[in-house]
Amino acid sequence: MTPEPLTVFIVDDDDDVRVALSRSLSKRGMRVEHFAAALAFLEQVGEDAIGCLILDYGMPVMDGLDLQDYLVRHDSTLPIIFISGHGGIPESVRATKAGAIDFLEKPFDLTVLIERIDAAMHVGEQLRNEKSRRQKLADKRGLLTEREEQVLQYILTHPARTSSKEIAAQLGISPRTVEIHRGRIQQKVGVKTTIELFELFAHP
Amino acid sequence: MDTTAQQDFRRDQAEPARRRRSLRATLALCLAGLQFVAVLSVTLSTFVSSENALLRQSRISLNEVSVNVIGQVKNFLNPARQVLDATRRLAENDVLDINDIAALESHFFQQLQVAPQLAGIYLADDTGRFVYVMRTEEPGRYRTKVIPPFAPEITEHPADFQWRNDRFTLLDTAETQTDTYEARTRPWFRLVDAAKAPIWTQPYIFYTTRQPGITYGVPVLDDAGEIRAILGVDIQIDALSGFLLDIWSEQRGAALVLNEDGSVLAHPTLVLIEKDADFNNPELPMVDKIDDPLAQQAFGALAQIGKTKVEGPVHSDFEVDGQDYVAMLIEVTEPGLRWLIGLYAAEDNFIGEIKKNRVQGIWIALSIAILTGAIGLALADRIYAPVRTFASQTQRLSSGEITAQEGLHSPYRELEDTGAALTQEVRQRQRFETAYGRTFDLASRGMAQISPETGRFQRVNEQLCDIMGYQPGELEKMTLADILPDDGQQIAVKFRETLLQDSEFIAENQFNRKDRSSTWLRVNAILIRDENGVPDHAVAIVDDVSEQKQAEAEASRLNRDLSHVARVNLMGEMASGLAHELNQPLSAISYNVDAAKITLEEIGNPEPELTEILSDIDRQSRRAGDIIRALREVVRKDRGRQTPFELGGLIGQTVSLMESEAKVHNIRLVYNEATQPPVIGNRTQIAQVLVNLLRNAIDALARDSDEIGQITITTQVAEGHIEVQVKDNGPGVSADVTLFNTFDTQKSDGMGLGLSICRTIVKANGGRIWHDPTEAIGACFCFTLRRSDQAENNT
Repeated sequence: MTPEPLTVFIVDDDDDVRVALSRSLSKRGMRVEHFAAALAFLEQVGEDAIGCLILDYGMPVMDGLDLQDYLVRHDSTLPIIFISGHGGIPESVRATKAGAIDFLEKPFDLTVLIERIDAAMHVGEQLRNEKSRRQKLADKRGLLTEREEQVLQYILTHPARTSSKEIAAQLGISPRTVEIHRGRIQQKVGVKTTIELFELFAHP
Repeated sequence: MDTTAQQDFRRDQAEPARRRRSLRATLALCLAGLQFVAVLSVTLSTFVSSENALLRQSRISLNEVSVNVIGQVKNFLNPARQVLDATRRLAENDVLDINDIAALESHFFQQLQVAPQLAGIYLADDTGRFVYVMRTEEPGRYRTKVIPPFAPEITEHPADFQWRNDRFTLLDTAETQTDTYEARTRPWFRLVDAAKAPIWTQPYIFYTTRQPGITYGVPVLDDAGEIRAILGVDIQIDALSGFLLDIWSEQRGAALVLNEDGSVLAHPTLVLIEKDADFNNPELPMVDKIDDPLAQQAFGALAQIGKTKVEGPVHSDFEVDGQDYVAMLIEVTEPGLRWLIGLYAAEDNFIGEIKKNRVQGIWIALSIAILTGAIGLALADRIYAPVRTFASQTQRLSSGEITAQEGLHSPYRELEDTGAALTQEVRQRQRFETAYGRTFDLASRGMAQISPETGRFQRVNEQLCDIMGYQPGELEKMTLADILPDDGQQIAVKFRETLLQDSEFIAENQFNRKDRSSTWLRVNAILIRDENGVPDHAVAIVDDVSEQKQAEAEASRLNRDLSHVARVNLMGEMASGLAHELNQPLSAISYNVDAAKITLEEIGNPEPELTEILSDIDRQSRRAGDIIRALREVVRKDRGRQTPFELGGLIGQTVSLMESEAKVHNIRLVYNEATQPPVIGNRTQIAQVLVNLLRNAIDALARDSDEIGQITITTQVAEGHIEVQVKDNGPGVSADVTLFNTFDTQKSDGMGLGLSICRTIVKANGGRIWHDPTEAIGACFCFTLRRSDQAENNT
């Protein structure tokens, strides 16, 4: 259990289920916020929320999949556990493909849900870390000049031909200038070798 | 067929037989026959009338003969009377001395020579004296017998005989003493003695000649009126017979002399009195006993009636052995004598020639009749010839050997006119036939002329050949039964029966094409009868309805599938809906129990029974959830295979499926099918969605009956999918209804499952369904289906 409890967000249009579930989870010491509709969640919390989302699949106006879709498109790190009154296999496949932790059919065992919540919290942390790392890299890359970016781009796209001579011939500049650019790039990004540069940017 | 029609049919068939009398035969019969009959009737009437005339003529001839006969008979008898009367007058006036034998002999001799028919003359008196001069059997030789007076008691007495020639020269003499002749006992003597007047005797046998004969006797009276002597003259009947024989030289005729009582006095050929008959009173044969059948036939009646007095001539006619005879009976009167002359003769004797002429006449008439008949026939033939030519021309015209342009010509004006009219008719008919033929050949549908009895194709057009895959020549050798499958042979039977009852034949059945593939054809046929009402051929119109049949089969399969899917979906949706609706509260119960348990632990020292109760509630709610899940698993069926299909065709079929339902509520379904890319999904399930949406629209329109309902289906091709819109002009969706929710409905009798099922199906098929609220009038529901040729980007 993390020192500062993360919030569990519940979105379900069925009041009884929502209230009972939030009550039960709260009793176990979790911080719970619940919403009757997807739009209400987006308005009050938004895609940047930290924690995990227990999302009902079947809802009017904007259903669970729609909300998941929205969150994915907005690069949210919030992990989602789908719960459904009549979840079918196609829906569950679609949901998990889009990154859902699980797709639980009501009525589900609370212990299973709690396990999934723990897993989701963990996944959420990883996602957040990864996101912040990528953010930092992007920030660093943002410091590069236009020419430096060109050189970096060529290095990343042509890993077999990374000699300054080849790059210079390609970009129509002198190898010496390339050498200078490479030094500045490594300095700005904070790496010492081209290998490290690859590791940093090739798999963001 | 009703009875009237049957009768008409029979009468129609009987008609030609009645009309079949030939003009030629009629003409021949009229011309030749009439002539023949005319000639024959004239001849026959002449024949018949001449028959009577001939009979009359025969009788007249016979009359003439009879007059002749009577004259002859009188001439035969008269000399005897005249001779004797003259002699008596001479004796009474004493010019002739009756006692002078020589004078008497001389006188008698002279008299005999004058009248050759006299056999002998004699004188007798009551003294027994007798002077007699007679002819002998030898011609030109006479004999004189003189008996002197003798007493009556003496039987034998002397007598002198002298023979002289016709010049009175004495030739011989003789005498006898034993003569037995007694004049006073002879019939003529007694009769005259008694009558004292001239008499004729009945025939008797002459004493001397032993010949039958008659005697005329007269008395020689003195002044006192007493008898001095009696004179007699003998006439031999055979002399009469000889005379009678002379009348007719022909065989078939005879004259008879009869007594009033019917006995025959003289016959031309027959010996009537035998010489050995009773000497004094010989019996004469009756006319019906003599050996002459013709005389028996002619005068037999006289013998029967006896002494009935015959007055005037009596005529009769008779027939023996096919020969006609005429007969007559007439009386001859002499003083003291009454005879009947009977005459009979074959008609031919008088009118044979005429009869012969008549027969000849008939033959001539017959020949003329035949000749004129033949001429009549020839004439009839000649008159008929142009008619025959005309008739044959007409036939050739109707059979098409000569064209209507050449026309029909005849020397007869009437025929020429008829020919012109006929030619006109034929031209007209040919125009119709050409038009019919073109219609037949160029028709867009299969056409055939079929024999109603045998079902044989008599004529087929190209379209029919195309449908059946045969060449025209092949098909025209076949019958209806040949192209019917084995299990469809009753169609051929029905074809014949229906048409022969003059009903229209309509049938849809499978037929075998030449390549053995089968095709659905609709055959409409009617019967054409010829002008006599005899069935001629059937005209059949044949349509290939395979595609239509296939479409019908598909539609009905879709309908079947739909009802299955609808049932399954309904149950599934109900179970699913129920599960969802029940799962929510069950879940809530479960979580609430969990929270309650935790709360109980937080309070500390929980009541064990309470914990147990909460655990039970939790278990039971889970159990309920399990039951529901199990139910849903049972009902949930395989969503079906998803395959690419043509959406336009499916919409079309669905529309036609719903058309009848819409028509009941006066609602028009509008769908303009357009070519579009295929979609992928479960065809039947999509049809279910369409049916549900259409039915919702129809129900909505039916509730609001003011407007003329119209439901429009449109499709729109987009990137990756096709969108289908079902729009109506009804009252629209009311605001308080949450669409697509299970058990939520606007209908009074609905369950609210339709749209929810639609949503389930559309989603399962990878599409979306929604209600477009932007339409001003009515409701508009839309759903999408994935295109099979293009994967949607955003899935």
